[in-house]
Amino acid sequence: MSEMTITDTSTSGSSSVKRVPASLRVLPFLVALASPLILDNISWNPFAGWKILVGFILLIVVGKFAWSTAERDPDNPRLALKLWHRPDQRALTAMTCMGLVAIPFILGTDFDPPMDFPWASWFRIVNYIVLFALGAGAFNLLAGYTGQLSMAHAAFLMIGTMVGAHVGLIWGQSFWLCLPIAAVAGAALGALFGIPALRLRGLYLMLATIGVHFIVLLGWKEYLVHYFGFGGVRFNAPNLPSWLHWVPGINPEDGEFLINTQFRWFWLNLTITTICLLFLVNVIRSREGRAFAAVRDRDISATLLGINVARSKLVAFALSSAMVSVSGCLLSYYNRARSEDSFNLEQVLDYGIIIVVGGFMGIQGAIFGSVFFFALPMYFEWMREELPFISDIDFFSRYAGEVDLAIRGILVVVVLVWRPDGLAGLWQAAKNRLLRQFQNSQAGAAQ
Amino acid sequence: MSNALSIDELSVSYGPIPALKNVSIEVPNGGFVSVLGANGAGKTTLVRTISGVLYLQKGKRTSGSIKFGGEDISKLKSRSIVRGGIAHVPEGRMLFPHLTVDENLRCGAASRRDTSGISETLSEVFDLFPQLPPLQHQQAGLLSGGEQQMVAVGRALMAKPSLLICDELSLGLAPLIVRDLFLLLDRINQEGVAVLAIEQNARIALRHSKYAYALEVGEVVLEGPSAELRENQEVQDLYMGGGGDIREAYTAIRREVNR
Repeated sequence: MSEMTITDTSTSGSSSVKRVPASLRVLPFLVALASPLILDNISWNPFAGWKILVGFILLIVVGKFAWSTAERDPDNPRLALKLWHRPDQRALTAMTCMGLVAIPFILGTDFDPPMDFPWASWFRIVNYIVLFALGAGAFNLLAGYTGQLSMAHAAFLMIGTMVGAHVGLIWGQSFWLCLPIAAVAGAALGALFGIPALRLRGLYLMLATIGVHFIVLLGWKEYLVHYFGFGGVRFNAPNLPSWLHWVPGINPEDGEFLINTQFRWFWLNLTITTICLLFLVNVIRSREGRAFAAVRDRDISATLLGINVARSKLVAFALSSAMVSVSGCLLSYYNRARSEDSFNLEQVLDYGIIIVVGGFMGIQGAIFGSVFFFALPMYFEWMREELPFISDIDFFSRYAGEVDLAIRGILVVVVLVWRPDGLAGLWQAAKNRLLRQFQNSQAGAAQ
Repeated sequence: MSNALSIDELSVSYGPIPALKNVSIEVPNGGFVSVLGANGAGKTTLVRTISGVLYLQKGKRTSGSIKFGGEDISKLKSRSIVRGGIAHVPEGRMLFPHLTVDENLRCGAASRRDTSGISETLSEVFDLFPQLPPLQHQQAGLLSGGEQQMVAVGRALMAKPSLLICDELSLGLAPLIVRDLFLLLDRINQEGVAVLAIEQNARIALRHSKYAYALEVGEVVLEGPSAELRENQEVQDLYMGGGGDIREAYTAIRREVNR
C-alpha cells in the first residue's frame, strides 16, 4: 500500500487548482481491478472471513485514493465535461469497479456457518442482472430518453438470437463474430421498424410496435421450424479466442477455453455490458443524446433549433435495438437453449418494469432496476425457505410464484408513489445529502 | 442584398381556412422590426412559415416567397434554415423541462459542429444573462417564467443567428421582466443580429423596434417606423388601450354595471 503516501495533503481550500499526473489518476482504478489478484496472494489468511475484512479495508483505501487523486481546476471547462472527474464520483466508481470484480470471488467462496448464505445460487441471478442491465439500458435510451415507447424489443432480442443461431450454428462461425453481426442486424432492422415512429407518437406508436413484435415473432417460429425443428435451438459454449489466453486467471485446457461456467460467463457478460453501457452514457452526454432528449420533451422546439427529428428518432431506434440484439445473442448463448415461446411481450414488460422502477433518466436506472427485478424474488425465496416463522406458513410455499409477483407489484407501486424518479433518483438524493453533510462537517472543521 | 429577410406577398392557409393573405414584410440587415397584432391575427403562423415548421400544424403556403439574404428559403427544411442563420424563440418558451439549463443551451447549438466555438458562444450567452450561470445545473422546468424566457432566448442565440425571431416574448411575464428582456434584445441587436419581434404588447414593442407592422386577420393593415406608429391615433386606439379616452370609457362601464 505504498500508494497511500502520495495522497495529497492540501484537502482544504476548495477553489485552488490541483493537477494530478495521468498515471496517478488511473492508478486507483488499476488497484481496484487488480484487487482479486492482490487478495488471492495473501496466503497467510487462515479463514475466508479474514479475507473479506482485508478486502473491505482495501475497498476503503481504494475509494480514498481515488477521491484524493481527483483533479481540480475551476477555470478548465474541459475538465467539467469529463466523465467521473469529481472526487466523490471517482471514489464511487473505483469502489464499484472493485465490488464488481469481487462479486464472482465472493460468490465462489465457501463460508463458515454464520455467513453460509446460499451464495452460489446467486450466480445465475447476478449474470441475469448484468445481461438485463444491458438490455434495459438500451431500452431506456429509446423509451425513457428519446420518449419512443416501443414494444418491439422482444423482437430485437429474437433477432440477436437468430443471428447467433444462424451464424454460430448453421454457418459454423465463431461466437465472437455473432456479436458484431447481431449488432449490425439489430441496428438495420431497428431503423426499419423505427419508421412508424416518424408518424406516430405515444400510445399509437406502442400499438404499431406491438404489431411489429407479432410479425417478427411469426418469422422466428417459421425460422425455428425450418432450420431446427420443434425442439428449439441448443447453443454450444463459446470458446475464448487464443490471443486472449495470456489474461491472468485464464488457463486453457488443450488450447481451448470454453465459457461454460457461471464464473466465466460473468466476466464475459460484465465486459460486454460495461462497454455497451459506457458507450450509451457517452451518447447521452453528447450532442446526439441531447437531441434525443429534445425530441422527447418538445419535438417542435427541437425542429426549430435545427435538430433533424426524423434522423434522431431513427438513430435512437437503431442504437437501442443494436444493443438489445447483442444482449439477445448473449442471453441465448448463456441460456444454452431457445424455443418457440422464448420471446413474448412479457419480456418487454419486464424491461419496462426495470426502467420504471430503476428510473427513467439515465443509464443508472437500468442497473438499479435489474438488481431490484432479479435479486428481490431470490431474496423472497430464501426468506420463504429459511426464515423460521415465514417458512411455517403453508400459503407462501404453495403459491410461491404468485406471492412473488404480488410482492413485486406492491413494491413497484410503493417505489413509484414514493419516488417517481425511481431507485436511481433515490440513490442520487441520498448521495447528495451525504455529500452535503460531509462538506458541511469539513467546513465546520476548517473554522 | 440590402435586406436580411424579405417576405413577398405571402399567403398561407390551414386547409380551407386562410391564415395569411398577401403579407409582405422586410427585415433589414441588423434591423429591429416588430409585428403587432391581436389574437388570431396570424403572427405565429407568419414566424412558423419563416422557420419552416408550418407542416407540423398542417398549414400550407399557397403563394408568395420568403428570401433570406437573397436566397429563397420557403422550400427549405427547418434545419437548413437554422443553419442558414435564422433562430427562433418559440411562443410559450418551449424549453426542454427535464434537461438542465446548460443542456438546454447546448441543444441550441445542435445545428453547429465546431465544439470550441460552441463553448465560446456559451460563455457569451452567460455574459449576456448573468442570472443564468448559477442556475446552470438546474432543471429548466423548475425555473421562473422570466428565467425560462432568458434560457429560451439564450438557446436561440447558441445557433449564432444573423436573424433572431422572438414569438411573444412578453407572454405571461411581469412588465419589469419584459422590459429587461427587451433591453437585452436591444443589446443583441446592437451586436449586429437582426431581430424580428412578434408582440401583442404594442407599447413596449414600438418603444424598442425601429420599424413595425400591424397584422389584422392575416393582412398587414399598417406599417411604418415605430416612432411614427407610436404617435398614430389608430394604433393607440387599437393596441395601446385607447390613449386619452380611457377615463371616459371607464365611467361608461361603471354606469353600465351600476344600472
